[in-house]
Amino acid sequence: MQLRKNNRALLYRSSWRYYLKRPLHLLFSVLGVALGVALVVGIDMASDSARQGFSLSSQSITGKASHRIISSEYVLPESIYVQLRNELGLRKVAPLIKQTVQFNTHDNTRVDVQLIGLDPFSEAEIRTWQQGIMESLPNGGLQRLLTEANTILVEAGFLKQYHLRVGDQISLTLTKQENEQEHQLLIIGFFNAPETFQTQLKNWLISDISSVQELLNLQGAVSQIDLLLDADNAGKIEQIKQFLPEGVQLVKVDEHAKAITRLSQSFELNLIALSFLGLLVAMFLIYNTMMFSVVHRRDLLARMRVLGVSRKELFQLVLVEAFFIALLATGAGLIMGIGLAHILLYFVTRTINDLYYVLQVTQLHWSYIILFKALALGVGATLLSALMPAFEAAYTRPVMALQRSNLENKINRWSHWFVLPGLLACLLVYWLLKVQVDDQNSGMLIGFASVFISIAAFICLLPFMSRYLLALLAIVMKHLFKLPGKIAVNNIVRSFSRSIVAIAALTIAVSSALGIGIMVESFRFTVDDWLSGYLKADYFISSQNNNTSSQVTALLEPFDKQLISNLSQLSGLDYLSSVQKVRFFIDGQYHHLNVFDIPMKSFSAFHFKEGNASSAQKAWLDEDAVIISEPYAYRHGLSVGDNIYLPVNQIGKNPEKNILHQAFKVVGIYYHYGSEQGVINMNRTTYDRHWTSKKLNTLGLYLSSDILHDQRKREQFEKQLQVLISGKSLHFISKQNLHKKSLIIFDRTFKITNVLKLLVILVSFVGILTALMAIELERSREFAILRATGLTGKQLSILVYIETLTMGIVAAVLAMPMGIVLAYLLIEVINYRSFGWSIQYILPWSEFAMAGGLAILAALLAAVYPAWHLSRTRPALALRGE
Amino acid sequence: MKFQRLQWFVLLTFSYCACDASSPLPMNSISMKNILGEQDSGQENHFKQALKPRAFQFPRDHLAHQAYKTEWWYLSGNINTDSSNKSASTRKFAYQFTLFRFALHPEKISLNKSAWRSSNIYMAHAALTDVKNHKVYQRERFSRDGLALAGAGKNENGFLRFWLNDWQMQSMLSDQLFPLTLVIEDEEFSLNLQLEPVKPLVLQGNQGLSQKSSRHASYYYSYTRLASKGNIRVGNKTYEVSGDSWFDREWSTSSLGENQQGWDWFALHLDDGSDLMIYQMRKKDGVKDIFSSGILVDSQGNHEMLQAQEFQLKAGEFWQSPVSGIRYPISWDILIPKKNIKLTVSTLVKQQEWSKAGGFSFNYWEGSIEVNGSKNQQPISGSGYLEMTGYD
Repeated sequence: MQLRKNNRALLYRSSWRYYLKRPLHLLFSVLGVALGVALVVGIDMASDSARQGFSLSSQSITGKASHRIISSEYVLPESIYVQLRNELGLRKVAPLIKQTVQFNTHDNTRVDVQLIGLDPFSEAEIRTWQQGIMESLPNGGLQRLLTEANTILVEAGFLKQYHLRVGDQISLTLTKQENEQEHQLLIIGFFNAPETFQTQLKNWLISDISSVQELLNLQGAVSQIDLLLDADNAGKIEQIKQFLPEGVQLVKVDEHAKAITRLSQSFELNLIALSFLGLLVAMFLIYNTMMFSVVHRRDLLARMRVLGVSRKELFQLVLVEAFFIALLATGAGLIMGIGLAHILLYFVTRTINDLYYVLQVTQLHWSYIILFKALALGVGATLLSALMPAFEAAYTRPVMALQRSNLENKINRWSHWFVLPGLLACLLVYWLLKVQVDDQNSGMLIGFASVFISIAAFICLLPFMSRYLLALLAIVMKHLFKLPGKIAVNNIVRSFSRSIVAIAALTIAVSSALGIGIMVESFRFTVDDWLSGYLKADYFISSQNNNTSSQVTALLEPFDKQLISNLSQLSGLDYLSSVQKVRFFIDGQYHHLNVFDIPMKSFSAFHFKEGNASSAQKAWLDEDAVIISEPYAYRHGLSVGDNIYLPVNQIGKNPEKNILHQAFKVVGIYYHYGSEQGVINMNRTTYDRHWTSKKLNTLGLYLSSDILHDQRKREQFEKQLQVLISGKSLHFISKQNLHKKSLIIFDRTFKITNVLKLLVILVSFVGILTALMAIELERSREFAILRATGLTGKQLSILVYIETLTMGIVAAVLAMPMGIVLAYLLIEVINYRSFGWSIQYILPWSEFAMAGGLAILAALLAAVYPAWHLSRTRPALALRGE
Repeated sequence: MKFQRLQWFVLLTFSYCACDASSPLPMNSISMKNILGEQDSGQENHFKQALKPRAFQFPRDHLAHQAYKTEWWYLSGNINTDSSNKSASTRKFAYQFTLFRFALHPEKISLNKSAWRSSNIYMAHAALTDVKNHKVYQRERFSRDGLALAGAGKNENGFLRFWLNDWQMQSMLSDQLFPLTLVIEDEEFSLNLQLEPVKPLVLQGNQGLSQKSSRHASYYYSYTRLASKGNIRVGNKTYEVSGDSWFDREWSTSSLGENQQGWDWFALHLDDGSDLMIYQMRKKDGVKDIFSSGILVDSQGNHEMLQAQEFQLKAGEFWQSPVSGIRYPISWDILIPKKNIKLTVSTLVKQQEWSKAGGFSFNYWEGSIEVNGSKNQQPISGSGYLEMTGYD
């Protein structure tokens, strides 16, 4: 017993010494796993922090409120609040205006901050942190807040961060645009937020609702009204609902918050899928390094077997080694992941802000779940990847240990065995693509599953394909590089079990990058193309605060009758079109309606996927008809001919809800990439039949052709336009610039994808580097013989470079079809299933060139160290080592 | 007479520091310090001062006086169920409603701005005392006057209206204060009363100018007895009630004198039909200030002023509030030798206290009292309201 224990100790000591002697090897093993773990942890933490940030900010806004009154027009008349208090006698009710604005710091950078307008007298019952504010007000602070314009209170952390004091003025601009008017705000006091909300409240400038209305030019309106209602008091809730005017809804706060977070769900799921792709590549890496360590010690292991170490013990030994490497790597991965999360958080929040909702997160959210996930993934993936090497170690037979060809023979046979499962996996993917699911989330899961299964299928087919490709390359290389070319390719084939892993890792990474690249390029092309057809007016005028992601979109009613009449009298104007954006909160979700008043020639902006353009146009003009965007149709399972029911306030018609749901017939489904949630479009006259509000969000100006093509006249027109809208917090933009701007936002959104693409490539680079080192170092004896027989160090390096070049070429060639398949899956399955967007499929040559170049470059770079190392090794030493 | 205004200044200048973060502050208390600013901020200079008697004009003077910094409308009364028949089943209740106005500016803030911009902050205190059950229901509310969330003015029919959200006093005839309805709705209680004066208005002090210290005075008038009837709700039980109420009006800009600590104010309805109001200003050493005074109104409505030296007040039993820890004298002996009046005032419900510790903006005791004693050697009784401040 004692003996066995000693044996084991000896065994582990030998492994310890093995790694200690090869710190670089250990480093790469750890680095591989660590990078994979870091990728998952980074993405997980970043999206988790974003979610947590949203939840905290929503909690700090919501406070104790149970319900919220929101409007289909984004802002509510403040008179509703007065009526709730004065007529319905509600006490636990508080109005709020919330708007993201830009704070100009001392060093002239602009920082997003939330401008919050509230009524100090109604806050106590709703937002709990408010008491702290009241308590910390300086003498007469409340009076100043109420009577002096632009007075604000800030959180203590804000003062500290920007080195400000009470009594200082800060400068704000309402939007990010250049040359925007600056507003000076006076800090009249500060407060200490409760710890939970500190990060959120630190970015809040709190002011009286009057100052905020004046600053935003929002007299008469508030963003929302929060209420604390007794859930049991159904009568009261019903009373409030009945009392609210058209387009204004009472919703439950938690449902409302859920609806908002749901917006970015698809985006987050996509991120997670990407992180798993990274982990998959990392697994190759681990397999590679573990296998390398086993193979490298083959003779040592064989000797151990001779000395009586059992198979089980060797098997355990490799797994225990893997376990410790995994622990070390997971630790490193966690640290790297946190660093990565910091970077990703910036991109994630920016994308969410661009596309979904206002979110400010600067703090990473840490939870033990992340630690467990990292451990499970790091250790799990490592042990899984180490299984094969462990088996190999266990089945090392003393006699055969030195016969390399033994394993290679096996692998050669295996490469055929894998073909069948690979083909079966292909069939499975084909079948999965045919599966129709109603539920969007399971649709996405199936989409991701098919991506991973197709990668698995490809991995199965890879050895088989590589063999034939290598056979072909053997001829090419021999032709190109004569004997070294021949030797190099033969080397790869002879150590196929090693080289195939390196090739596979590189292929997967490059094809993922290629697939993502094709997808993004196709997407961009589609959006670009769509914008060219969709933007019809020559100029667009909208509110400066118009930010699609903002909850408070068009805050005000910027287009008064006078302005519209002035605009329509502009000389050279052909048509003044308008869009009104309305939203309905139905069954826990927002439904967005765009009301169009457009010239009929612009109807062609709707490029139909389903439905007949001419009959749709007729129905659009005369009937209760709507045209819906592709994502909307997809999300709600609608086709042409179906009905959409929208709430029309007509008290008394429906005794249950007092809301009549009017049916609108879907007469067309058109391509639209402006909104992930999808939109319903309705003609102005149709809308006016059922609703009364006319709060326009965007105006479109169509120029007569003589002005349109005359640069001088156009400039004059722009000048006139500027004069008309000046001082109204409006801005205009030409069709061309709007097109450009949209594409800029598009590109920004995909920056995060690029970052992840790079990371995947980095992981694979480390992978191929270790694989190559394994190969090259393993064969140092062969190289020594070559050296001894007259090959110079330089020639040996060239040999190594040719080998890796060949492997790079194999990976590049194989990555092409795989990349196309992945792009297809990403576009057709993930993009369509997550977002409901049809994307035109393009194959940009630049992406292929980049992918090919990348594979070859990575392979060549990976050869630098082994080539240098081998060329310096003295043949005698290497030979003696055997 | 209603002095709470003065009390806030007492609080903000003397006692605010005693109640800061260390006490378990209620959610809804708004510090007066924040509303009114420093006493010595010089703000008062922009407001008009009550310096000499004015020619009152009604109904104009029933409404708000923006040029003065503080103002209030005060109602209190003892109301009972079925008071004609004093059977055992009679339930005694008492109520208080005060609407305060604090000016943020001596002028109305100009239009063309946000409607939330306000010139005044209104505060209301409403209380109902259930004598039988020894329960007191109190509620405090604040609002700005912007957006007509609170105010004192005329509605479209010319009815006078004093309101804070859905709580309101409203006249039932145009351009007249009475008859007046009081409507207070709350979760725990409600008041719905109709009030009509049985005696004419009396100007307090010197033709309505009430001197509070050598430098400070206010405009002050009262309706000392209002026949009151209507219904009240306690929980979900409603009671028909009737009784007598007291109405006070006061406005000014200045505050307590430097040496003054607080006051004790009595408003009594005696059962011979006469009404007695007495207040004493207490100096910091506890001694009655010479600016204390009173008024006696007979059943016909004739009134007679009482000077400080013409009455004596003696505190009897003290009660310590379990909520705030403050000790209040809740029984008093009132002596007016020249009128041969000897009265003892006591309360059936001791905890009629408003305190910061209890969730309100400042500390005072205001509640229903019983009166017993003699007038011209004849036994006399009655009821009324007592207000005590400055007992921190």
